[in-house]
Amino acid sequence: MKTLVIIPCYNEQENIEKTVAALKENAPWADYLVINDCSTDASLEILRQKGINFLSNPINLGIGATVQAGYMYARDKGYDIAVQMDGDGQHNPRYLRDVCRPIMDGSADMCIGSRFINKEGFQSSFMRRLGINIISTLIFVLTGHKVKDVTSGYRACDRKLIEFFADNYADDYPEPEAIISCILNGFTVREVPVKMEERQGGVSSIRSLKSAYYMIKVCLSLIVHRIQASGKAVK
Amino acid sequence: MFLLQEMRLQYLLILGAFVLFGMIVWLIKNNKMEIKYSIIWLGFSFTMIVFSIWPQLVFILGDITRVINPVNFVFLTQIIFILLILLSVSAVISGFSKKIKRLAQTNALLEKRIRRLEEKLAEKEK
Repeated sequence: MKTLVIIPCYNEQENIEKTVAALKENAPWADYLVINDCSTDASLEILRQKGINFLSNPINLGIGATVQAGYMYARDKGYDIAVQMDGDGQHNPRYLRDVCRPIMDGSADMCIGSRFINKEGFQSSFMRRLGINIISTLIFVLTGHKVKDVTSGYRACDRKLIEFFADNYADDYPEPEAIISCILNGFTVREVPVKMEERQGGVSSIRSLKSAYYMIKVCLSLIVHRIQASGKAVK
Repeated sequence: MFLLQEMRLQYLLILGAFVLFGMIVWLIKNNKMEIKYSIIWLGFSFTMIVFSIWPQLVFILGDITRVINPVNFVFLTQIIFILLILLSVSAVISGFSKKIKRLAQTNALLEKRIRRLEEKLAEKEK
């Protein structure tokens, strides 16, 4: 099955080359695509010089629209599986096959690499886990499905979802929204255990100052997704 | 005395309403504002012109709605229009940001195809 690993990259000059090298070494069977979201550091130069396969946004679009460009690419190039993986070294490519397996055997449309199933590896801060628990509970209340690691950016999806995401994907903080729109549109979501590393450099896209906005925005949009879906069901 | 003050206010309102109308017409005439976005503004200035040259209407409407000072009814109407315009601007911006996002994404995909073509061409020329 043709597999594409989508790696969003915003100011990852320290990590991006290592991430791609580790991916090539551990998963030579998969193609990859780095998408530079108009980085202000030397990321683009590195991508050019090292002959890395990349897309480059002309303007900064945010993580959601950046990943979506990857899904559009996967759709146009006829990939069967697309996997999202962060460019900062948090996601170990050794687990790529584990994350893809449920997609390959057809037991799920989306498979999320979760750090909370075996509770191994970097578990992130208490506050972050609290936020994740709140979002996870909210998704359970709204859909009846339990997903533990709702903010994990390490996720694989099948051809149907590639086409769906190419047309529908949230702009900022899209991970929980992608999960709920999958569930509400009848796709199956599964989780497999992975070990995550602590990020090796650069700045995470979720900073403490923005976390209140993050929680409000995500919770509100989850509820809106639910309302939109019930509106469709009534029609 | 009271009447005189009301008169002055009326002149001021007439002046303001026509200045607003003139600005809107100027923007439309010089293609600086699209018709579809100007409709609500035209409605706004038309209402203000009617209120200023026919203040009895404001007195009647203020009486019906129990607004204490008739001029407050004028303010209320203005606030409602401003809120409507602001809401429509937010909706329009949301539409634009979606379109800009699509443009940038397809631009990135096209740029990649061109880059690939150029590389192939360079290989052939060697």
